[in-house]
Amino acid sequence: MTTLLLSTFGRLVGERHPIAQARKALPCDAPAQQALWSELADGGWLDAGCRDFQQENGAHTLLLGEITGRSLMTLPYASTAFLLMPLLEADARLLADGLVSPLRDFPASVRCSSVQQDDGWIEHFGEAAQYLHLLPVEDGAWRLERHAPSTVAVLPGMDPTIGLGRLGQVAVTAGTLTSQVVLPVLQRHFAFELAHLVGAAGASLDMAIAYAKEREQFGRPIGQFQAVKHALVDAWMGLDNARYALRSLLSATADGTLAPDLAGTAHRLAVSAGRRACKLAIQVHGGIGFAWEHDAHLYLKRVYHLAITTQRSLGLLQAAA
Amino acid sequence: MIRTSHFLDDAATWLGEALTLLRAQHAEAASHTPSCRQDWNRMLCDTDLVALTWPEDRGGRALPTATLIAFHEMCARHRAPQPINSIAHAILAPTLLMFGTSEQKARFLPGIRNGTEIWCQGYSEPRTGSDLSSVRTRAARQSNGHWLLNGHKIWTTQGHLAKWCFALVRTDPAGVAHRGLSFMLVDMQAPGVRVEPIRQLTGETDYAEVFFENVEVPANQVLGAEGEGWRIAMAAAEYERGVYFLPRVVMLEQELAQLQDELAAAAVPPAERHVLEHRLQSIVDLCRVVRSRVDKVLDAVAAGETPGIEGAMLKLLWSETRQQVQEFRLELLGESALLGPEAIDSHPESAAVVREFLWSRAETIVAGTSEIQRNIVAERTLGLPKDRGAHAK
Ligand SMILES: Cc1cc2nc3c(=O)[nH]c(=O)nc-3n(C[C@H](O)[C@H](O)[C@H](O)COP(=O)(O)OP(=O)(O)OC[C@H]3O[C@@H](n4cnc5c(N)ncnc54)[C@H](O)[C@@H]3O)c2cc1C
Repeated sequence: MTTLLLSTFGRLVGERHPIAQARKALPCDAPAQQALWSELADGGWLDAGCRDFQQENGAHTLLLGEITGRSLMTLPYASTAFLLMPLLEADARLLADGLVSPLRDFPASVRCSSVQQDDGWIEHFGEAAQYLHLLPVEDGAWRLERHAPSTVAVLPGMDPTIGLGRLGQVAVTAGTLTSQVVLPVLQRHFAFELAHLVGAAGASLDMAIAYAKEREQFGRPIGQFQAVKHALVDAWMGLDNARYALRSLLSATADGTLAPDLAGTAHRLAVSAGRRACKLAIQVHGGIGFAWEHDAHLYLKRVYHLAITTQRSLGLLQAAA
Repeated sequence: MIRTSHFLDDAATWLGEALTLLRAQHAEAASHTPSCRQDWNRMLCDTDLVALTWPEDRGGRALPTATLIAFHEMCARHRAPQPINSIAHAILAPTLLMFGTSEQKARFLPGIRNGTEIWCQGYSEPRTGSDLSSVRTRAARQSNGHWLLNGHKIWTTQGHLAKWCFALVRTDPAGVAHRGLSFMLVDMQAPGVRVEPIRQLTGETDYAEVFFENVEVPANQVLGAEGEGWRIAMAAAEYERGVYFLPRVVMLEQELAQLQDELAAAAVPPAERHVLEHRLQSIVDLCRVVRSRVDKVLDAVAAGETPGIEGAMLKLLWSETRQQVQEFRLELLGESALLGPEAIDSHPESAAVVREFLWSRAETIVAGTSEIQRNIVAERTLGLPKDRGAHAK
């Protein structure tokens, strides 16, 4: 059952959102993006962070994250399915009060940060997305602010596959949530985002491994040179270590345990292994790895982007502990 | 006027003024752009600040190499851009002076000296990178004695701007590996030459693919003897690793100083600061060693020697240290590292750091990968057996 589930998701995302699609950096109201979003909704994939799905298939959150990372998903799937859907499930007022618009129609980009982390960068998916800011206020309360898409300033980002925006100072409306509701959801979303990072880095490394088997220099495949072979193994094992850490974090999350310590381990391992793998992938490809037309840089940029955004969530989890 | 007798004093005065003029046109953060580098090249040529060590009868000033080194150091300290034709100044010109016929020197040196002819280096090919001896671009001798060139070069820096290309070409189809290669000077405007710019991961377009389809190359555009290409290319590489490296080392020192300032100003918790300072210290140590090594190489070059194996070690250390510096600077940007290099208008400082970080990924690939440099050191210094395929002996 579960493998079927994963292969369905893998096929859907892989076919509807190949890397060539990511390169186009389409806003969420582009027809291709809308079609994929509808399929994700119809397939129940927007509920993947919610109670029932998690009870049955929670262990596969890692793989779902890796699949979205491999495809360099350019829709706010993580923040919609793993943050807002479970928050709405816990607190229906958010929808009833109109703070959040129906997620099936309006993919949601969320910035999770504290006031100290006040730069306000948010992932930008065009005017048709909704933009929210989730932040701790005092006494175990959290605020969810909604910003008008027209007030989000768009800037050129390092990751060319998704937009970079900056939230304005003034929110349109806001509501409050309790820490008991927010923190476990935040922790799962954090783990999912790290899985996404590992997926992106893993896809990049797989490309390098395949290339090392084909590319010949000095009359042999470059994968025969131990300088290449051993480096690939080290990078691969680094990513696999990160998967172990993520599994531990996810199983704590499934038990309802807040585990900032495990979250820290998972972050350090995933980020350092992810960066290393993407850099190595460029190195192993040589000159071609430095070309815009090659996918290697897209993975690198996504991984470096996520290393920063997940750092914010980690800070929130650790501060709440 | 730059007097030979007071060369460095005059040059220093000129540099300060010239850079003020240049900076009015191009911001310092735009130093790497082709238009800035072109303007700078023109200014240097117009003021007779190229060809310093060439003999006087070739339009040079016959200054000692030590003066050339001091001048390069001065330019780098003033954060002058790299002139667009630095490949010609640093690699081709000394090679021409050494191996060229008097006719070739007369034909090609003036264009380099005047800044009218930009050169590119055509070594790499789609199937040939680290193993340059497997070059497939071939030239066949025609009945009129000229060569007919066919093949495909890639990653040719400024191939789309260059008037001339010095290329490694197989002239003896039966020649195995590095035997049978020749060093050819190819007119990029000749019929049959097609150039397609390639965009690199920084978003800029600094290099190109070059296709040769039945390009006629006159017999007198082969440098050195037919089949001697490998030896000449290796000699040219030695020049590249000498004086050419100095500005990069100075740049590394400047970037390190920036990193030190950035760390001092960064808002980091005390416990983390300790770790970061430790990491910084190890980079400082490396940079000091890089400086000692380049000084040693430059002493050797000034004394008329070639850097040899020291050059390979310097390239390896320098490139990897620079990557560490740039990565560290990127990390210190915090959330601003989400910006791309194109954010240069709204966020010039952060965007410039991101751009340098992205560019620095190439440092361990260009001019011989780190893996290749390590192999060279392993084989030549440690005497370890070759880790190479059969045909490359
Ligand atoms: C920005 C940039 C500018 C460039 N400018 C120029 C230019 O102006 N002119 C020009 O001719 N070329 C230029 N190049 C090309 C550059 O010289 C080559 O990219 C480089 O030599 C590596 O060759 P390759 O890309 O074919 O990689 P490959 O040789 O295919 O190497 C792929 C990987 O295998 C490794 N490898 C290969 N052989 C061995 C071995 N024996 N042992 C261990 N590991 C090995 C390499 O280290 C690398 O990691 C440029 C490249 C870049 C990125």
